[in-house]
Amino acid sequence: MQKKRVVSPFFPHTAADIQDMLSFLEINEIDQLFADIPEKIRLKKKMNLPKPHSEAETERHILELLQPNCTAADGPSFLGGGIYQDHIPAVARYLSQRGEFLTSYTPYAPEISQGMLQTLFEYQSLICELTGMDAANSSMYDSGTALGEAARMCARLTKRNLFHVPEAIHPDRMATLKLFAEGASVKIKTIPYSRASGQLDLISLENSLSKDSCGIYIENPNYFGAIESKAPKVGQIAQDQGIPLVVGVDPISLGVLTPPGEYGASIVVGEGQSLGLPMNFGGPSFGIFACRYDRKMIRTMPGRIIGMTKTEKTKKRAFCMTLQTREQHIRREKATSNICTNNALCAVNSAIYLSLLGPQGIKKHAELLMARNQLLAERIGNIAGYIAPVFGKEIPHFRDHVVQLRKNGKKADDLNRHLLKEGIMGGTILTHSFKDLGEAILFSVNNQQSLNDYQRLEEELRRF
Amino acid sequence: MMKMRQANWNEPLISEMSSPGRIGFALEKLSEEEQNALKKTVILVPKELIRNKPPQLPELTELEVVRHYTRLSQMNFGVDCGFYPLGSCTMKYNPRINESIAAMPKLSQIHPEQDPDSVQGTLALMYQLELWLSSICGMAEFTLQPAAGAHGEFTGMMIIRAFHKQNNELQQRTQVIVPDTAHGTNPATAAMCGFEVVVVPSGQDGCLEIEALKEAVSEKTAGLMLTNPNTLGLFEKEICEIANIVHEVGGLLYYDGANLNAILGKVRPGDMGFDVVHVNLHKSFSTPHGGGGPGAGPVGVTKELARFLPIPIIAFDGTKYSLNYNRPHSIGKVRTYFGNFGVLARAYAYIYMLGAEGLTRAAELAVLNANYLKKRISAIKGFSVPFGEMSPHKHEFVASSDALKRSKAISASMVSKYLLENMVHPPTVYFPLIVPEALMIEPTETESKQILDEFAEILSRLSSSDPESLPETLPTGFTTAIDKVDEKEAARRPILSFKMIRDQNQKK
Repeated sequence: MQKKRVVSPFFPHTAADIQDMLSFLEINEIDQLFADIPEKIRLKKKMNLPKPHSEAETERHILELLQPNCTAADGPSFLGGGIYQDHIPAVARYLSQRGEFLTSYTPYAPEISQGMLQTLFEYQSLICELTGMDAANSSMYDSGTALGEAARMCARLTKRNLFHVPEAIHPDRMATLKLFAEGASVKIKTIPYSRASGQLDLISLENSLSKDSCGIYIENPNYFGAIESKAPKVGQIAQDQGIPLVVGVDPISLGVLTPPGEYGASIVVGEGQSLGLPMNFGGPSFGIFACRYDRKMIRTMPGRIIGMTKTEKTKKRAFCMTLQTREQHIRREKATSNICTNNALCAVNSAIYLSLLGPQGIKKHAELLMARNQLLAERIGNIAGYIAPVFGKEIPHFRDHVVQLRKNGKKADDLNRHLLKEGIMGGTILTHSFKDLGEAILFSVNNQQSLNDYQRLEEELRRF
Repeated sequence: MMKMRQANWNEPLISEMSSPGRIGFALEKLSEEEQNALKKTVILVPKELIRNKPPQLPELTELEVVRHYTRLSQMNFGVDCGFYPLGSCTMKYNPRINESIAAMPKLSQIHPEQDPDSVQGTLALMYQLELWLSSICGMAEFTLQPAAGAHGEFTGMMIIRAFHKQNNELQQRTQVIVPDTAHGTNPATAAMCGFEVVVVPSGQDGCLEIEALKEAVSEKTAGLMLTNPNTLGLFEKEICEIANIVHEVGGLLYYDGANLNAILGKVRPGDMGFDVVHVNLHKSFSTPHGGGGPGAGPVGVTKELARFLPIPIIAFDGTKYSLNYNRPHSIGKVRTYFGNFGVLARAYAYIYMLGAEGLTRAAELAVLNANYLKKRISAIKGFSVPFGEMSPHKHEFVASSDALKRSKAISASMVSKYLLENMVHPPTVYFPLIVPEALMIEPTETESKQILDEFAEILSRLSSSDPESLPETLPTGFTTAIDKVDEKEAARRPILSFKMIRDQNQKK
């Protein structure tokens, strides 16, 4: 049966082209090329999908579909905890989405892909500058999978299997870590935080170490926004035990804070979204993964790595993917990870962002966030019924802090609902994941909030 | 005769372009109140944790940054530039409307932890996408969490693992079977999930050999990972029997969706008997490859396995969408938050634009293009298609330049460098391993007959050329940005960052 020809800007085949090609193949219709599919499994009904639409119809449809969404442009938002809403320099998107970058594949053919390769090499380098590491891969999917891969790497390095992790991390990161650990028979030992300071309980950590320990993970700042004042001590503990220290960072905080490389970290991971990416409901972002350089360590690192080299004849500086024998396309079941496609373009975007900000910019940005967090905590803490930050004014924080509600048994869930009704998005409720914090919410700052936003928040907190 | 060449900028490293004092982005000044607050908070941080010198990031103006990355992009090749027939990657054109949609504020300026009541649009899009993917693949339910195909494989294999664990059979089911033509991620994933990999050889026809499979399965089989059509571009006709063999021993079937572009609307993995399926949105569903990602690898399962899907599940009660975490058998989470939403939205737009007719037509034209090109290349001296020469291929085929190697000492590697010299991205080479001097070619449906003819002509020129007349090393750097890269040196002496360059210079 002669089917109606589907015309589309994405199908170049004219009727004449198709006729020529069918003649050349000595067949009468395209369907003959599918004749080897057994009759009994061939799809005979139409897929339950929409009919074709024009570009304009598609745009209208999606606008309508998303209409009910509230963005932070609609009202102040105090959400954070790893994903943040800072202003992104306008030019970043125009550069990272140039077609030559956007529509290229993994740069396996180096001579034609120097653009992507050099950009990713620079990305790796800038991450190393921030974190104090020697080498970085060209991205992982997110902070959770980066952490999972770090745990597996520690197990491979030490040939042991007990990985120590703070309780005070994002529940999604913990869940992802557990799944990655399961496949490698790595056991997770959680270390509690001090209820007084919100920081890691070092005595618990020390008591939990054993001959099975393969690595220690800490976050600095931690999930509660608290800066781990004793992080260098953890570095010492890890060194004494002879195991790697893995530090999870907020990349912007490294504009002000000492890089983990300077206090004993062997591996650094983190969430890259705040380096110039939109929030995108949590993805795509990317996972930062960097480590010290020693031959053993680098050969067990997961992910794609770009290296610098020269051209064979002209000895020009050039870049290519390197140490590929760690990867799945060569080592198959012996690969360090199965990762293939990563989040390269997000990494490119963050390299552009870091290049625009520069050392002074990232410092100023970090300082602004610390200042605002301090101010916000003060303002909230001055309102009866609220403790902010819950761990006390002596504990240094970065850009998040925990607010505890002590208002006649009122619930954090209800507070957020009240705020939402007034067009304000309150922070993430911690009560369900961290029961001993009571009615608690993680408040966060960014450089899009205004003084007016803080005033409105105060009003509503009082009214609740 | 050379029509095109890449730019060649001799672009410095961004660190080499830095001038102290320049800035690329102006930030607001701190107010007096903020300055005081900063002092108050910094003083609480132990001195050893405050950075004593700023990070060595480059100091450039916005214009300098723009020029650097613009020039670098001009030394990069994408689908936007020319033919990119990488096998199993489905380098089809990425419609730009997807990008405008992805930039919509109500799509991108959403925090993942917003109250579900405030993101009903986002949840509606994801819910609908799951339904569409279920229909396309013939599966019962989907998760959109995985960030890439390999991540989807990990998710799917952990689901299979959970299934066997629930049946108290995980101790015994230690093996996962893959064909010798499997993409590297398959055995790597199986190993990541704690399984032992058993490789089954393909038969003379390039397809999985039934007898070999029968010998490989046992009560130790957790599952079989397969792609169909396979990496040779051939449809595994015996798939129903394959499914039976694996199911009969209590194993499950995993579908690697990398080659889905070949069969959209024609046949569905669910109907073939697969229990778990992953889809690569950055392949069949036109989301851009971005130089290596981000992608998305949603996973579909049968009704029986739905209970193991990662949480949360998007639920709809007829009026409202919500996130359901109450799934006691779920494997948990495979990543933070819900998935690469920005990528999911692009795929959603693509499916909405093409519709059922458009997707089916995409498969038809992809297959037509592959078969046309296959026949043209088979006719070139020195090239052959060792498997399935006489049967229809699907969306890709694997040619061999082995005869060219024997007659003129021109290897597949040289073929690929010659293509680069002619400003065509080479196909995948030396994979799958069962084809000598393999060239895995997937044209996709967005390429015209003229492009395919030009490609065949380039290979024809190479075939009839005198090897002595070819440049000593290819590419020469006359058309591509640079000449042949010394990849061996990069591995021998790894230099992976500015810091390592400095360290190396210090040693000298």
